[in-house]
Amino acid sequence: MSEEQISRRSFLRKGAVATAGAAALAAALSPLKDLDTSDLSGFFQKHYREMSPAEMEEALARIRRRVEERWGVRPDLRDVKPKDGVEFVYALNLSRCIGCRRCVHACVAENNQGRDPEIQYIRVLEMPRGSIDVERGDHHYDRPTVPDTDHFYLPVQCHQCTNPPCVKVCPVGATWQEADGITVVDYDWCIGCRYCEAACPYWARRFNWTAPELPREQLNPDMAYLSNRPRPQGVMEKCTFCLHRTREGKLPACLEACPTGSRKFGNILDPDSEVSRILRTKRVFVLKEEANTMPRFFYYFDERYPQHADAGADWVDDNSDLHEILARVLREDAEEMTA
Amino acid sequence: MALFLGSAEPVEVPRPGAAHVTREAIPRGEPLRSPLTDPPIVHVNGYDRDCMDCHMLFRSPAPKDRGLIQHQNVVFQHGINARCLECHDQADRNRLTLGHGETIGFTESERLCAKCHGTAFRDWQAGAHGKAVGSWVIGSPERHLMTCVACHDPHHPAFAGLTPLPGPNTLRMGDQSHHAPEHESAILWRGAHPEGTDRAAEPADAHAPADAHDPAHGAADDNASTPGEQR
Repeated sequence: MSEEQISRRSFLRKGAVATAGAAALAAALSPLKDLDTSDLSGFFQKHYREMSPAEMEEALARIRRRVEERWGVRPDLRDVKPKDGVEFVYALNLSRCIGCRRCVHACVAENNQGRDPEIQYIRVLEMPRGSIDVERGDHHYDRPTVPDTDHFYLPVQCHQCTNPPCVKVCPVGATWQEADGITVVDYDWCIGCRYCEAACPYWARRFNWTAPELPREQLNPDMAYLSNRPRPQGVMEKCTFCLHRTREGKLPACLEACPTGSRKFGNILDPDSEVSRILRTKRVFVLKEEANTMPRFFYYFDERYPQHADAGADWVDDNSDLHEILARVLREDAEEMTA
Repeated sequence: MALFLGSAEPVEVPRPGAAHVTREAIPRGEPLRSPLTDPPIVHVNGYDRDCMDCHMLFRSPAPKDRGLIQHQNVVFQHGINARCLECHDQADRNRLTLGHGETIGFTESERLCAKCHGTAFRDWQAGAHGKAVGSWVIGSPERHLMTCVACHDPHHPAFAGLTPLPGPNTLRMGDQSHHAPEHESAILWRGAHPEGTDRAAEPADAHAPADAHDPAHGAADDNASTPGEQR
């Protein structure tokens, strides 16, 4: 067996490569030294839909502890389930919206978004009259007073689509649509790849580029696991129709803040609800209908009040009556002619 | 799975200049104005009086087209309805008149509005006009429709415009004030962080008006909205 003589050059080169490799490895692993290893139970947490009630309670306790540590406020954190027989729909009266953006900031006050930069779920587009093309909208408008008579205002937020593209593209299943129609995100499962942001035709999804900064006096302690609990860096978030409020019968924050009453919210499965009546009798439309997302967010112009006198006890004639009325008129005409 | 990597250091408040609207600045679910009670009580010279305390003493002359003399605080602009006694009962000023001798109290004033604005009233009853607060559950005791006078001043029902609150944070686009200085909002907001942060695109004073519309800045002054401006 001959000894292999390693040359000095070869030895030094290999040594340098090995040292550089080790240094690179150390640099790559250096964020781990900031890792909070005091409580690793979050690592083993399951997906929201797989958690047992006990596991959920553990997760909620952990989050409550974190919120108390960081903000010094004890939150009312709970997991709010959807009600049976409820599917939410939102309607917005474009003849009333004046573009004041109170909805935008009420949402921010309610949902514990990061403030630097301030994440806003709702975006109000100032649109030129005569066009529904959202590419012609301007969301940076900054006038001394609104409304401007040459424009109308179109607030856009997550439409909780019935056929949501964001749910389809999520590679880990961190987002899904619940029984009452709200599309939710499990913030502890999201990996932050932002495919959902790319897939959404309405740009409803927001990403936490930085660890969210939130001053203590602006924290809203009324929280739910799937909606407005404080999010970590690197996860997606969006409007959830304030499910911590609406699943308990209350109204979303944006609706309560609107000074003109242009926002309407309710249960489409209830035929007496505001939104049911609006969808039956107003000329509603959705944005980007060709994308086939089938949103739950309907816009309408309340042009003038209907010119037909209401014939029955109900508010306004449904279009469903027209067929009956027509049939009756034709029948009576026929009888007259043959009599 | 992502860990909740909460930071251990105390959270700072946003820097001055960042878009920041307090929760108190946005009233939620409250009426825009306080309607009068029934009978209406006003505080005059240290005494609480109702309408007839004065109008019993000072009988009005026959109604003529004349402006308000005593009620200086009332701005009266209600379209073609330019006559006080269309709504206010001449005999009993604590009541509103529906015509033909029928009077109602001030807390039922929507019946009076409905006399002329019937279609709006019908929409309001169904929830399509105005605002319902408290709950979306029809029939819930929490839910109530705001009355006409909770939003509209009956003497001047048209609304003045509002100042819009700040829009999206145009962080990476720097100071926006060069675009439309004449549209400066009453809420002074520039959107960009002051110099010294690693995220400010350029310091504010680097933007001379002449440079503002070169291609490097993009078409931010047009009406095009490009998704991704928050990046």
